[in-house]
Order: sequence, then structure tokens, then C-alpha cells
Amino acid sequence: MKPTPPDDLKASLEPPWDEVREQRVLGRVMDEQRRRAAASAGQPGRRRVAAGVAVVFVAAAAAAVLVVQRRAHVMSTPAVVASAGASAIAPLTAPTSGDREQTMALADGSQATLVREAGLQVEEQRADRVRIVQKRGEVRYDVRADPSRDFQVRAGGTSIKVNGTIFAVRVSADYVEVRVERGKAEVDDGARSRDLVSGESLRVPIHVDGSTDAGASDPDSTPDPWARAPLPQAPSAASLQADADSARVAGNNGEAAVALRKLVALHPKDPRVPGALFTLGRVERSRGRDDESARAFERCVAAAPKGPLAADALAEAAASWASAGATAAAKADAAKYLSRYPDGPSAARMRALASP
Amino acid sequence: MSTLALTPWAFDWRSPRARGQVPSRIVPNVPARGPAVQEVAPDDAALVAQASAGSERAFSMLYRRHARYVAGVAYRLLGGDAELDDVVQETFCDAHAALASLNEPAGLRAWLARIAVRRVHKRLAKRRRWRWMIGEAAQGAPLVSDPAQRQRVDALYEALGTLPADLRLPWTLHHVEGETLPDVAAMCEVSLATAKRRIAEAAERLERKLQP
Repeated sequence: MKPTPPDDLKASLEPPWDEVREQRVLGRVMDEQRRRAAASAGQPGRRRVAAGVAVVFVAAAAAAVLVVQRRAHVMSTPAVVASAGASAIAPLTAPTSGDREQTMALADGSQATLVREAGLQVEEQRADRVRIVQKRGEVRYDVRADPSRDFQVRAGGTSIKVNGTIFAVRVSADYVEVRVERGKAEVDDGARSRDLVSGESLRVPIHVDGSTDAGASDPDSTPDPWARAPLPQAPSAASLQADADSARVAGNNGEAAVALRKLVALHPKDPRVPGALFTLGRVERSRGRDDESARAFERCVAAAPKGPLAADALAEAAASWASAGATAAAKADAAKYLSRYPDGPSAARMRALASP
Repeated sequence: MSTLALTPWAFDWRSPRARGQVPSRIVPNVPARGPAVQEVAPDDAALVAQASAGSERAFSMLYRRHARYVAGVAYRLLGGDAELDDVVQETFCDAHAALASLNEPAGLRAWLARIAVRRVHKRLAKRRRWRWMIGEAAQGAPLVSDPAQRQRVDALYEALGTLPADLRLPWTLHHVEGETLPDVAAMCEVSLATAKRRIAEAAERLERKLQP
């Protein structure tokens, strides 16, 4: 017998590929492109790399001799120790300013993305040991899984030890906040430690002298965040997205809207937010709530004005305002669209709305 | 005896294109609301030029136009849903990185399919290596919208799971996707003769596997 599939097999083997999934993958594609662009922008050209490698090679040989000669000293002194090879991959200190993000590739394959005036110092990075001191701001660490490597971040008297984890550390004047997005982190201030798992976060106040509040033991004094304060266990953005998807598939647009709003409220910096707002616009429209739909689309534009959804969201906002009977708002959004995207795919539709 | 053996499939070995069933072109979305105005979307060539120059919007338009097609091809080649998002993502990331090297922007869809086939090939080969090393269970068959076909499709994909990717992909592209032999050769980046030989060998092996 010949293996002969039926004629209509292809038609019956369509993937469960809907708009939400398409949007989600697009978000991942765009994130990856930005990550690659940031990584390539942070690296010197090939010639400079080649020259750097040559210099590093010589320096590494010299460093090896020094390390052998001074091994006992290095082992006992917490001085800045970075191998020459490591310093070629990532700078020892990396500050950033404003909202600009900067991604550092670490020697062990992990990454640190600096946001919000962040500053850190890579004290040590070897194949089996990485030590980072975070001075200020927010840094998101994506740490490659390697049980043989000891990866630690210190911030404001708190140390965070991880393996194969994505987590963020925020250092402000008053506290150190650790949020775990994936995996597990051990947070320790020398007196106490706590394991955080995916979706959990911990905020440790900092005293004026720079030490953390872990020593607070009087039960009648201010709440002890280590022992008494419940951990904020907000659902992750991924789980809220999944809830919204499931609700939409089940035809429960009300629940989908709730999950999407919660995602936006709890994770305002999450890259899924523009997509969630766009989907919320669609969901609210299907519920007949055109004004809410328009607001969601407008928030989508505001969340990522240069994002891939901005043009479509602006056009949809205008259309939703028109459906809601808010002619002035519809005209305003349509005019905004035409000024930004005069040749956009919805330009004809927007012209009709702008001058009915 | 399996249902597959009891009910041989009547199959026209010619591809849909050979049978004159040319796939219809994707039509741009028409808004559900608002005035009915004919919108003229830029063609692939124009969008490729803009995306190569750094336009994220042009690239996202290309994605929206072709993602479902890429997902469909990858889904049927992979025989499941588990790795579909990753393959689609990798395909478009690879495409973005190499967009400037695309000589014929009008052939974007076929080019994307070639990239997707390459990505699926890697995953199938990896899956096969793992199965050989640790005896991992075979991946499930894809979901079938027609329940009457489910048993046969399960059996087919179980048999396909035993084939190396080099044989599985050209057979699936030809007999499930309905691609012509020259297109299969181009998508698998092999000569026409090699494509024919691999399809024939895959058919022979499948026939043995599916014997009652």
C-alpha cells in the first residue's frame, strides 16, 4: 500500500494560530531584533575585536603569571579581580542614564540589562564565578544555567545568589527590591536569607549606613519585611496573558478584559503591555464598549509610540471613537494618524473619518 | 489492523499547483467598522525595501502577511504545536537578519519557507538524536479538524517520526504541503534528483511502516 494521504489533509491540519498568538510571536521577534541590535551596538568592529583579542591574549598571559605569584593574596583580598579576557567582553563598570537600556554580555553567557540610571561594577567574572556589585538603578539579569558556576549580585548590603534565573534588582535610596521572573534566587543579607521563586519579589529597606533592615527583631517595631510582611505574589505577566488567551478562546471576553487590565496594571514595564492593550481594545470592542476600546488603543499607542502596533492602534482608536459617537475624538485620532503615517495602510479610512 | 490499512487513501500524486489549485493570495484585512474604503497595501517588494532600511512597521506588516503561512508549513512539518512559536520566531529573526541579501523580494514567501524548512530540519534532527540517546517518546501528531482522519493522521505522523529529517521533510512538503518537485528541491536546498530520490525512499520506508 502506498502511503497516500487524503487530498484534504493539508486543509485539516491547520495550526491553532490565532491573532493573539501571532501578536505574541511578533513581540518576541521584535524583542529579539532589538536585543541583537543592542548587542551589536555594544560591541566594537571586527578589526577592533581582533586587535583587542591580541592585546587580551598578551595581558592574559601576564595576568596568569601574576595570579600564580600572588594567589594567596587574591584569595584573601576582596579586591577587584577581573580576568583580562573578561574585561574585553564587558566593562568593569557600566552606568546608563534616563530610559535608555544597555545590555551587557557577561563572560559566562549571561546578560545584564541596565535601565533607570543603573550602575554596576563587575568585580569578578570567570567561568566558575561571577561577582557583580549593583550601585544604583534597576538591572535585569538573565543568568545562564550552570550549576558549576557561582553567580552573585550584591546591592545595598544584600546579596542575591542565582543559577539559571531571570531576575531584576532595583536599588533606590530606601530599599533594594528583588523580583524573580523565572527560576529561583537566594536573597541574603548576612543574617537572614530567603528563597524567591518565579513571580515573587522582596523589598528590603536600607538604613542610612547602607545596611539592610534584616536585623529588625522587635515584633512591635516597624514590620520586618523578611519575617512578617507577606510576599507580594502577583501573578506573572505570562500567566495573565495565558489567562486572557484562554478566556478569549472560551468566548469569555469579560474575563479576558480583566486579565489584560491586570497585566497592564501589575507589569507596566513588561514588553507584553502594548500587545495586551491592543488586544484589550479588540476585546472591549467585541463587548460593545467602544469608548473603552478606543481608550485601550490610545494607551497602546502611548505605551509604545514607535512600536509595531502603534499605527494600527491609532487607526483602531479613531474607528472605535467613531463607533462610540465621539466624532471629535475620532477626528483627532484620524488626523494624528494621517500626520504620522500619511501613506499608512489605513490612510484612506482615516481620511474618511477626519473629514466625513 | 489499523484503520489506515483498511481504508487506503485515494490520492492524486499531483500537487495542488499541478492540479490547477493555485493558492489564493492573502487579501489585506478589511476593517469591520468604519467606511468601506478600498485600501491598497504596499507589495512585498516595497515592504522588503523599507524593512531593509530599518522600518519596524514595514517588517511587522511583512510578518502579519506571512506569519500564518509560515506557521502552517512549520506545523505540518513538525507534526505538532510544541515548538511552533519558536520556529516562527526563529524564521522571522533569520529573515530580518538576511533581508538585505534577498535578491528577489517578490519571492519572499518561498524564501521564508526555505528558512522555516531549515529551522524545522534542525529541530527534527535534534529530536531524533535525543530519541536515539535517551529513548524520548515520539512527539504527538498534529491536531486534526476532521475527527474521521485522526487515526490515520496519528499513524502517519508516528511513521514519519521514525524517518530522518532528510527524508521526512521532502516527502511531507510534496505529499502534504502539495509542493511541486522543483519547489521541494528549492525549499530543501538540494538538487531535483536528490529531492526525487529522497521522496521515493521516504515513501518506501513509510509503506513498510504502515503495512498492516
